[in-house]
Amino acid sequence: MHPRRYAPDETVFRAGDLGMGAALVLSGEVEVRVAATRITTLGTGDFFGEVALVAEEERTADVVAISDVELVFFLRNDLQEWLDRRPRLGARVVVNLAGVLAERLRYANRQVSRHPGAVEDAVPMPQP
Amino acid sequence: MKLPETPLLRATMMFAAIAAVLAALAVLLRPLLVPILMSFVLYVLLSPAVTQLERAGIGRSRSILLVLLGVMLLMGTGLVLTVPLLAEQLTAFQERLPAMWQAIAQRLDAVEEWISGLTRGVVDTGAVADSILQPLRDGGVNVVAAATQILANAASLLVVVPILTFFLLRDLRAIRNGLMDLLPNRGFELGWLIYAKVVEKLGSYLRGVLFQSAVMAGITTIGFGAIGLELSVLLGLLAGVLNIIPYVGPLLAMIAPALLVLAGNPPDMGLLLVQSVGVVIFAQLIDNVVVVPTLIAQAADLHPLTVLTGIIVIGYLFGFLGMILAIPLLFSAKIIFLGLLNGLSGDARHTVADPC
Repeated sequence: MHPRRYAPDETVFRAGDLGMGAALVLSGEVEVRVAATRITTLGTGDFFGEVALVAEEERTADVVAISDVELVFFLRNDLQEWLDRRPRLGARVVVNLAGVLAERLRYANRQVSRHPGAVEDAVPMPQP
Repeated sequence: MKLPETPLLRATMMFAAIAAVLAALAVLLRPLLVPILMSFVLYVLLSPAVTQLERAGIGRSRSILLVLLGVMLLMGTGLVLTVPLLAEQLTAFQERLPAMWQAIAQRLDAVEEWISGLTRGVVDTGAVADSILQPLRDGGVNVVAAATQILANAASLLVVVPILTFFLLRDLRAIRNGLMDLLPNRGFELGWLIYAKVVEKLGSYLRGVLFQSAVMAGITTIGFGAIGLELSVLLGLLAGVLNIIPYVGPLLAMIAPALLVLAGNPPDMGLLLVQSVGVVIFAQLIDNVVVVPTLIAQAADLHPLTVLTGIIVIGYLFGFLGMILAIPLLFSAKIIFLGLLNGLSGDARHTVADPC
């Protein structure tokens, strides 16, 4: 676990960056933006960027602090180390992660079904 | 200080800064460099065993101690079995060295006379022979002295290396996390990405090279023994160690057995010479056809010209240790530089798309 502090307007990560892990908001608020458009605001207890825990892929949105923010990062290395050293705990994290990703997929499917024929311009998910 | 905007320039400057810090650390820790490197090798090799014990519910410190005790027991047994044989072969080699050089000198004298007859005294063959022989003589004495010194230092390494390995296995993660936490927010994920790639490549390269050396040492020891060459264990181990140096190592591995044959002056010298070189070539063949494609090539991922230039330059600057470390240093440098360049190019791309 890697705690980090961000000042208002400081970028947490940018769309196009390769991701290394997810972040949990301990305090403060961050804004998720796609092409400079606000998608959602996340506060204490929310987490984001979890796709990077399972795949080395580019971030799909910018995340910017809008107040003093304390985050704690959980990286792919950490997950791998948990799976190696404490497999039961690691497996529980992976199952929860799968649940979150499934929820995101359901949300995306709902969005697409509400806008048939607009898959190319699909509404971005609220979490990066 | 504001950094230049070009990603290539920024990546180059950051890379230079990282290289400077690492070089300064290497200079500072120079007396401990060999034990530290050996401890890192053991760290990579022993981590899976420690993790297995942890999975079984044993605490980390206790797991490390158990694994280290097991390894020390194995190493101790191995040393007890091999050191007397090695020491015996080294002593025999050292004792025979003057006679060996004398035999080689006599052969050179014969060649000198032959060339002198051909050139009718135009070429100063004596000076040429001396210039060839002297470095060989010095080199031979140095190799024996170095090998003897290594054996003499084995006892102190047996104490220092396990202690360093214990602390690496126990505390490296915490030290690493502490150092990575020093990264600025903008470089935090990029730093971890680069670190993960370097560690993954280093681990697979190290495991591959150790396996490769063991294969090379095994085949050459058996081969030298089978053709009736003396000091086969010593020569086999030397071939295994030298094989870590690509391209140059196998050539060096052929010199020692060839010199031994020349100095021994056996009746079937020509055949033995061909056989001893053949053993190294055969081992190389197995290495290049089986071991390198499956274990080494993917890990190193470097152009042969880069490897050769790197070995020569780093070997010239840092000696034998530099030649061994040249490849891991080169591919780590490549990963770090490309990682920085890609990360910073991403910044530049984003700045163009979104000036905010």
